[in-house]
Amino acid sequence: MKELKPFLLVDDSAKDRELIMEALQENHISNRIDEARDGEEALDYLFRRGGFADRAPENPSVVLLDIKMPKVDGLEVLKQIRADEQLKMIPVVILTSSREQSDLIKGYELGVNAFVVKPLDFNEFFDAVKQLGVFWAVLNETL
Amino acid sequence: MEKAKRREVDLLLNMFKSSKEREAYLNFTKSYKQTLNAIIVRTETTDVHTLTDLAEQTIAVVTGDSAVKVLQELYPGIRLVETENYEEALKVVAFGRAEATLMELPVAGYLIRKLAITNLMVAAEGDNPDDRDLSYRLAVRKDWPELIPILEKAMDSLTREELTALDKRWLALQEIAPIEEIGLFRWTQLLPVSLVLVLLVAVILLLFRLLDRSRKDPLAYQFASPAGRRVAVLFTSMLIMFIALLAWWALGSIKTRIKEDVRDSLQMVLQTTREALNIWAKNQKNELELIASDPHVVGLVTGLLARYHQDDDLLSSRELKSLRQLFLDFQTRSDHIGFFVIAPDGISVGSLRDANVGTLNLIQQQRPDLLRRAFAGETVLVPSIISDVPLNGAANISGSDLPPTMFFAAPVRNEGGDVIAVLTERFNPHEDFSAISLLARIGKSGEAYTFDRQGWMLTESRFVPELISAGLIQPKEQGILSIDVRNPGGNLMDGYRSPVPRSAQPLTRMAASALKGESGFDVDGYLDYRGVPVIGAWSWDESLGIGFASEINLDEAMASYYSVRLAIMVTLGVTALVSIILTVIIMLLGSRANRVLQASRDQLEIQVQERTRELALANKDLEGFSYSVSHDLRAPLRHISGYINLLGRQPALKEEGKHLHYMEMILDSSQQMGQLIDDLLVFSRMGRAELQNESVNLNELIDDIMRSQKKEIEGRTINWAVAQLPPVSGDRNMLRVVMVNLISNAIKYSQREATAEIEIGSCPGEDNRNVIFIRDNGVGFNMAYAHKLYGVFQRLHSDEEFEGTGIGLATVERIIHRHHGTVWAESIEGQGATFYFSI
Repeated sequence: MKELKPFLLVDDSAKDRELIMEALQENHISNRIDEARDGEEALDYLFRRGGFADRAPENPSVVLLDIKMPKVDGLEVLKQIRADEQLKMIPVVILTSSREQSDLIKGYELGVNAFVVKPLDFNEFFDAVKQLGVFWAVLNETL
Repeated sequence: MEKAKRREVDLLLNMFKSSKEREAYLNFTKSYKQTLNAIIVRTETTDVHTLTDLAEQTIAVVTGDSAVKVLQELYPGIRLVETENYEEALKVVAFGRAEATLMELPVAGYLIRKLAITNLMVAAEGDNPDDRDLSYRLAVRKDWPELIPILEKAMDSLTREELTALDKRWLALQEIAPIEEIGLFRWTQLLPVSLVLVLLVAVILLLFRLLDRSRKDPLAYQFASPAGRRVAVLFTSMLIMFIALLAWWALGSIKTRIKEDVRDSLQMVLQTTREALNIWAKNQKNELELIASDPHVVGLVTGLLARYHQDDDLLSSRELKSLRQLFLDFQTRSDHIGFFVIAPDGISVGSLRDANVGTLNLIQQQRPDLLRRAFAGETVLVPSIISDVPLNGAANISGSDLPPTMFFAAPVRNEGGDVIAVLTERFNPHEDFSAISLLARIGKSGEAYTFDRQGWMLTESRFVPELISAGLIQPKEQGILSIDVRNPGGNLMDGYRSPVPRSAQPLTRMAASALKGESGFDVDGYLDYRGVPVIGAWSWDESLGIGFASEINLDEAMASYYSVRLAIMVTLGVTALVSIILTVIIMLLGSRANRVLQASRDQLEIQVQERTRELALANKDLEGFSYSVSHDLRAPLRHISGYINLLGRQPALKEEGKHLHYMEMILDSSQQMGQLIDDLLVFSRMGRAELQNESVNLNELIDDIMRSQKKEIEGRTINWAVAQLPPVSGDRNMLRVVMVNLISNAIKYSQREATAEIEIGSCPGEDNRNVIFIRDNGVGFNMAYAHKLYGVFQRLHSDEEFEGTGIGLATVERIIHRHHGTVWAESIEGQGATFYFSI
């Protein structure tokens, strides 16, 4: 079996990242999880520049993207992904802490694949990530 | 009357209450008809107001007028000049042969106009108490006094209309001369005035309609709108046109009136001259006829003729001597300067001068037609002809060395009544003949003159010196028979010289008409024999064979018109100018007011737009704020519940340390929550709190802050460079918040430097403001994200790198904005940042 492509988790909050990692682990997501602390870092990762210049030339299997981040926000990152020939096919899931209508509209406009509201109810959150994780893991295996 | 005295007649009609004698046997009613109620005098007469004033004067009356007798009875001292009719009476007064005349006012008015007499006026008219005696009354027998009141009552019962009708019936003259003719007021004069009024009303109505139609616009816009301007210009130009029209009309009527007046005067002068000349000629003729018909003279002439036929010596004859003596005696009565006895063959058989006797007579040479008429039995005037005798010192006819001379010629009849010879009397035409016309001058340039069939002037010109300097005649020459009445085509007085010889020039308009035997006038102006534009009247006297002309320079005649015209033009010009200026001023004021209005409206619009934008911005801020709050305030709660969940899901934790880590995270999250809420409170308070304006010493503030930040800078090496800052005015507490945030940021973001450099200074800014800056050598930031610095919860660094809530700079900006200042920052990533604010 081919090694699974990594997930890219983009979130500025260390706590959120930890909680998401926990959830992913619990659901036995075996993909490697790469992390970025803000939009700028995420773009550096994706375009393999800055601190990620010598990263192996492969796209993540999925990008988990927080919206509200310092410097470059999630929607901007999404926009740049969709505008790039190499990156535009990457599935992007936006993790959001609120069900802000404007975020949803902008997200779908920019071609987001799914929204997962960072739920206060941890179970719901896990279910959402679980579903997603399994789906992408399976999808990945078939590739 | 006699019958009334004898009481055979009871009632008499149309009686004058003229004498005490009548009143002795008659009673009179009040007057029912004023007769001769107007006293006409010459304009220079000032002392006649009533009939009584005429008591010792000469009055012209019409022979047979019923009033004549009454006048004589009333005023025994009065002298009466009887005339054939009222026209004659007026002329007699006009020529000064009588002081006044009496007639019905309408008759007088009509005749004065008809005859164009200008020197007469009505001295008194109407029901003057003094003149009551000249009115008709009813008279009844003295012994029947009771009849008077009865008759008066009957008279009173007649209405005015009936009286007028009676007047018309009995006084037919009034029909010819309706009284309106004299009145100055005519209904037709109202026509232009009412026309003007109607037009004015129309213009005003039009104006109102125009204003009404554009009422949808506010008045202010009408004022400066092209339509409004058009209306103003239209109204002004119509007004000016109106006034111009009015002035034009007034000038026209004034001109006509003046021309009429001048024409009347000229005709009057013409008539006077002609009349005077005729009278003078008639007198001379009469006297000559008397001499010619004197048996003694006839005998002498017969004797002379007999001698002439026998070729006897005429010069030494007794008859010639006697005749010469007779005429020399006669010179005391007549101003003649010689005589001729002319035989039927035209030879002078008698004369004062020896040289003339026995020669062909000069009348026969020059005017045989007149001599023929004399031989035919008529006494004639021989107007100026060329003399046969040069006179010492006398001015001559142009181009000759002889002066002009003139004669009267009368036939001498024998006992059988046949004309045997013609007796002539010689006159100097410069004497009475010219004098009469020279007297009839009006103004500075008016003259009257006569001319013969060829257009030669027979009387002296008024302008001899001028004509000499114009070269028309030579010095020492005179005008008679020297000047022909021809139009040179240009003003000789102004130096014009015609290229055409005088004889080839056309006759003047006047002469051309008069020589055709016409009488006429030209008030529009034509060039006279001097080439000067004149107004003139003329007539031709066929019996004398003389033309009469009366002319006055157009300039002088119309001088009053020109001055009136100038006055009206100036007035009109000033009016037009003033109205144009006023219109322009009003329009300028209007458009200025309009501009101000528009400007303030635009200003308002801009303000509204600005406010709207501000409001929209504030709204967006608020949206952004609530968005941020929903994200960031939720995060710690989510974290807390997430970690608690993790704790609960993993009761048998494999790693002991994880518990502690989770607990730490929970604690941290709750502290973060607290911090967030604190910061938000400050941010909110800084927006609402009232601003205290005071002078703030920033250096004191900085010292204070540095003391309070001791904990944060413990163990760090920081080089402070704090300059002396200018005192600023503002809210001390708020400025303290600003400085705390900026200083703590500088400390925070330079914490990784081994030696932190923090500089605080100031520089002068725009509008006399101070600019304060805080510079550090910390991590700095990417200028690309500078716009995000001041957003609530906006951060350029993650929590892991530098803690913070992202509210501090938002609070700073809010405070500085409240102080009407601005905040900006400069940075190079990794090399530090400088934050500026102006205050």
